[in-house]
Order: sequence, then structure tokens, then C-alpha cells
Amino acid sequence: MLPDERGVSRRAFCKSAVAIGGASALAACLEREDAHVPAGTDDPSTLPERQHAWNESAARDDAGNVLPPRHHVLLHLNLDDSPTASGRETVESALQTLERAYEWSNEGLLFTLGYSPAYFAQVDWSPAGVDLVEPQALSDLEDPVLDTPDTILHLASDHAQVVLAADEGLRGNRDELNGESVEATLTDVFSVADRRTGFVGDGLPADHQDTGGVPDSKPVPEDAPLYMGFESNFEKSQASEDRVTIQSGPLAEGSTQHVSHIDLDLSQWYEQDDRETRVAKMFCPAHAESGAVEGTGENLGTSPQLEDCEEPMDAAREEGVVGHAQKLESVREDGEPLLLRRDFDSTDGGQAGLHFLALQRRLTDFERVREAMNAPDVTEGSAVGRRTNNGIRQYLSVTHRGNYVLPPRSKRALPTEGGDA
Amino acid sequence: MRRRTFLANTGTAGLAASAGCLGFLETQRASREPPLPEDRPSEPYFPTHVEGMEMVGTATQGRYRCALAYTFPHRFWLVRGSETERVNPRGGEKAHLMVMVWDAETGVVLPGTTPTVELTGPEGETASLSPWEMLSQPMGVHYGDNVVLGPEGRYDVTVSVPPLATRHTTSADYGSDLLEFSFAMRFEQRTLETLSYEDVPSDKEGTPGAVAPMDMAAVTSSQIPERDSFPGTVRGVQRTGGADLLVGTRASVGQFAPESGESYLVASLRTPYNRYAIPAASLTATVERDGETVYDDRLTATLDPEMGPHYGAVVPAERPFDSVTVTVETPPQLARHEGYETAFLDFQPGSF
Repeated sequence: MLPDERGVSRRAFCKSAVAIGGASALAACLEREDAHVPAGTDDPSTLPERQHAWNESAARDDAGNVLPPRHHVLLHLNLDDSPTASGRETVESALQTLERAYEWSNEGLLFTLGYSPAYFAQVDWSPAGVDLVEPQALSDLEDPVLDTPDTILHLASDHAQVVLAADEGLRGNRDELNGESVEATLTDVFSVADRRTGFVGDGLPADHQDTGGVPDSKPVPEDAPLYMGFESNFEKSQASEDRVTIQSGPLAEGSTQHVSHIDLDLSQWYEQDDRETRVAKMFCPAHAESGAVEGTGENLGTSPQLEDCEEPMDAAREEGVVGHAQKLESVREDGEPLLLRRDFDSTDGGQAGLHFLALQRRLTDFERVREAMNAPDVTEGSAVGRRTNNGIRQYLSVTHRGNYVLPPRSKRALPTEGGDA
Repeated sequence: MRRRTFLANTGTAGLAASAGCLGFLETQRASREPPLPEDRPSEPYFPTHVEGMEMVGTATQGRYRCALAYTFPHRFWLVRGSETERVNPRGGEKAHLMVMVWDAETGVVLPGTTPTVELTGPEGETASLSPWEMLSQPMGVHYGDNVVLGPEGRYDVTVSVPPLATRHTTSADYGSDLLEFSFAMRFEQRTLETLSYEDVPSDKEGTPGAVAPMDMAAVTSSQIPERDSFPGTVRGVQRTGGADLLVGTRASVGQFAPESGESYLVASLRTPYNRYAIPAASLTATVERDGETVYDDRLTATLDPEMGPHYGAVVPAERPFDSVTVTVETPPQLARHEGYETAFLDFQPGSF
């Protein structure tokens, strides 16, 4: 990591470039990020039917936890016209361009294309086996903007230049991507309504503390994968891809996606609370007491090891505080968590934030988990408040929520009931 | 171009780009707090000083009335379980911002209102905060935090208040929407400097007691009735953990205990001297009659227009009780201003 002439580290620069976007950001990033990006395939049948099948192709940490790709772009897209056969061909061709250009992996590019309930209403289709739930406020403390683009594209790669180039290529601003010619562009069919960006992984949050919501003491640990300073991708607190896959109906092998944006108040978190409190609120009071969490929590391995944490209500009544992970631990089916989190931090809007992106079989699974995080039974029955000592709710303000369905790969291009226009 | 400016000018669309966070460049400490008294007692004590506050204004929506005020940045203490964590004002923090929300019809300060505050400064800078629920001797229960502000001038302040979540005895409709209250706040260092500052004499500071509630003509008082005017039958008042615990019964209260053979058991936890209801604790009660336990469970935080915020439960009451034991199981988790930070942390069960 060499500082450039402005004293901005290379990895920091390319993260900023993702936030900025466009051709000049990409050019600047290409100069600084010297990466060989593996090429993809021209045989789409070799790729998984599940768009969300990323884990097989992901990096893993020493303990074996999946490491999320480090750089992310979310594009909100609105259809210019009703779906047509030629529009569908254009979308499929544009996405196959990406698959030819980049290996389906964290080193290349992983992506999903999702459709909102608004899209399905527009094409007058309620596919069986899918709960098309409109986004809504999920606690009485929030009044989020409800995102209703027709479509959302999620681009993810360990290389900033890849998500930048893919973004540019899909808009028709590049003729080639990683040596492959761009055959079609998404903007022939869609208009870009919004662009959101982010990052996750050791060091990236610490590189981006010069933003709103972060005190100037630069408190984010140098090795933290997320702004709040702790690991969160423990294998045993994540749903498997099977668990979040739609089981039946025309969109079987698809999934659903909830994407919210949350502002973070790291001043209170780092400068008013002490570390023990942060551990108690993120994990559970017993972990704070025992010192179970070292540093960012890498020592915990593949599980947050919540076995010694009490039931949420017991902790609330005995300790006056309940941990975030502790509240969510019991929300399982057949012993497995319901959500596969693929969230990432962000400086969008000049503010430290989190794009909370979660996959689940049913959108109502997400609502169930969120209700456990609200913990209304605990707030009524203990000294814990709606924010006060209630996990990490004190530090989070939800600004946006959107719900989407990720069709299986074979139906990802403008799906309709008959499959034709 | 400096990177900071560069980033600020290239925010993404959709998530409204701000003109950057409020500046952290000013490092002048606005606090003029003297050192804490030595040997603070584990009960309310006279603080080192009392500062006035600047009332920005009040606004009303339906049953909710909201006041916004500010004073100097203060030290305060957060509470987790029975431990406190002292929070000192930091560089860049220019004011201690305070929000109070009360029932416009009954005047009762609403517990657990959990407001958020958004500020837009004179140069378009924005900041937002979720202030802590706090208890102070002059002001009682409010929400507050020390805030970083930009230059002097007009700040547009929006306070968002979610609907009341605390159980209440009446059929009052507290709505289900998040309400927004708007204020125009003129922030000037000179205003802060003209606020009253009363030094508490050194032979008095740190001794048991409390400074009187401030006269807040524009807002409401969060004081609750004393023993003699408390509705229903008062079984007793005991001092525990530095607080007064009043326990009584009522034949019925609003929607609770309307049946014969039941009564409403109330525990009113309040500060001595100033009679502020202390919210954000958890309490249990054991009721015995003829050697049998007829109730042994928690009391639920409840709001009543006459009794204020208290802890209550419907209990069987065919015949009079022999004894009621009330235990503060979890100390009040709200943050404390000076003079309350050593109190209300360690309670003994009281038998009434």
C-alpha cells in the first residue's frame, strides 16, 4: 500500500473512486490498482442457476468464514418501456458480457439482478412460491424512504476497478471490459435512478473515517471489517444459500433481497461508550464480562459463541442491557439462521453508513428477524429502552428500505408470467 | 483540491448529499465545569454548580408537546446495569442539547420518548443525533447529548418523536405516527456566556441533597405527587438506593383492575427532594396473604395522568394483603447529570 501524492493510500483511493464513479474515477483507479482480473466464461451453462450462489466462489478467512467481496455498487434501474422480447435479449446479453469478462468469483465479479414488488405489479404477475412484500417501516423509530425502483443490480468484487468498469460498461460508457467487447448495455432498456456504493473488509472502514458520523479521533480499528469494529460474518450466524433459496414455483432457485441504508453514529459508539459496553451491546453482557471477544472478534472463529449468553429477557432484567447478536440468536428454523447477510459500509451522502443487504427465502423472514432486533417484549418487560441499552439500536438510523426478488439465473432478464412479452 | 472537499462535492445521488459533516476544527472547550466533589455519597448530592439554559422553543402536535433547549456542554454518566461510564465534553462540542416531550393535555412528561434530532447549520452543514434519556436535578427527565456545532447562526432543527410505547392506564390516543417538530435555533456563543451560572458553595457541594427544579414556566414540571396527595391507598414510602420508593394500591385505575377481587398495585420510584418519577428501571413485587404468595412477578412500566410514570400490576385482592415486597431488580438505565450519578444504582428490597 503506497501513499499517492495526496497522501491517500491506494486502497483508500480506489474505495473513494467507487463512491465517485464514472470514467475518470475508473481511469484513476486503474492507474493505482495493479490487478490481474481473471476472465470469465462464454458458456453460461457452467454458472450456477442461483444468482446468489456466491459462497463457493468466495474467499475465506483463516477460520473458514466466507469473506464478502470488498467493493460494492448498487444500481437502481427503472424500465423505460414495458418488457419486450428484444428488451429481454438486451438485458441477458449485457449480463453475459459481464460473465464473459470476469470470473464468477470475488477476484472477478459477483452480481445479482433483482426485481421489486413494483416491477411484478407492473407486469401483473404474482409468481407462486414468492412473498412479494412491499417495503415498509419496520420499527416505530424509523420513517425510511421506501425504495421502489423496478430493478436493482448488485455488483461486488475484491477489485474496485471491476465494479467501476462493470458499472460503466453496463451504461454504454466502455467498449470493452477486461478484454471482452461490450455486446449490449442495460441503459438501452433501463434508466439509472440511483447509484449506491460501499466497502467491507479489513482496513477499508478505517481508511474512510473522514466522513460524517465519525469523530475526528479516528476510532475505527485498523483491522476492522466494518465501521462498528467487529467481525459479523461468522459462518454459524449466517444462513446457508440453500436456506435462503425459494423452494417452489416459477422462481424456484431464486431468493429474496432486502436492502436498507442505515446511518451510523460512531461518536456515541466509540467516544461515549467504553469497549466493554460495545461488546455487551454487540454480542451480549456475558461476553463483556468474560472478555470473550478479543480485538475485532476474530478469535471467536466461525461462531459468535453465544452459548454463554442468557435469554434476551433474562439479560435485560439482570444486566440492564441486551446484546444485538443475543437478540437474534433464537430466530432460527431447524437450527439455522434465516438471513444471509451481505451488508457493507458506505460513505454515501457524506455520512458513515451501512447498506444492510440480506438474502432470505421469504421477505417476511427479514421482518421476523428485524422484530427480534426491536425486541418489544424486552422493552416492555425490562429496564432496556427502545434505544437505551437495546443492542446497537442507539447508533442506527434507518434511512431507506427496499425489497426485491432475485429470480434464478435463467429467468433473470425481465421475467414475466409467460416468459415472453 | 483537498480530498475532503473532493469527497464532499461528489456525493451520490439519492441518499441526499450533505455539504459535509459539521466541522471538527474548533477545539475551544466551552465547558467551564469545576472538578467533581470528593467523596460523593451514593445518593443524590448537591452538584458543584448549576447552569441556566436557553429555551429555543416549544411546539405541539396532537397530544405531544416538545421543547428544545441548550446549555453548555456537560459531563454526564451513561449507565449499564449498575455501572456508570463518565462522558466528558469533547473538542468541537459546543452545546448540550436537550429535548423534553410531554403530554399536552395532562402535562405529564412522557417516558421513553426516544426522539432523534436533525440539525442544518447556517452553511448547510447537517448533523443528526439520538440523544440519551437523562435525569438532571434542575430539569428532571429529558433527552440530551453534547453536540458538535458549526459556526454561529441559525440552525433549523427537526425533532422526530415516535409514538409512545409505554403502557398507559387511560384510553388516551397517543397515535401511531412518527411526529416531527420544527425549531429555528439561533446559536451564539454570546448567548451561552450570558446563561446563569450558580456556583454551589464548597461546604455544600457533594453533600446529600439536590438543587431545586428550575422554574420552567414555558414547559411542564416532571414532578409527581407527594405521599399525601398520591391517589389511592399508600402503604408506605421507603428510601432505597438513594431513591424514594412509594408503594400503594388502587381499587382500579382506568382500564386496569376493573373487576372486584382485583386491585392495582403501584410502585412509584422517585427522586427524593425533587420528586421526579424515575423511569427505565425494572421492578418486581411479591404479594403475600395468609402466608400464601398471591402475586410474584414483575411490575410493568406504566403511565398515568395523576401518578405519572410508575410500575404497576393487577393483583388478586379479595382480602387485604399481609405484605408487599417490592424489589428494584435493574437500576434505572437512564443517563445521569452531576448529583445523580452515584445514586439509584444499588437497591434493597422493601417490605410494605
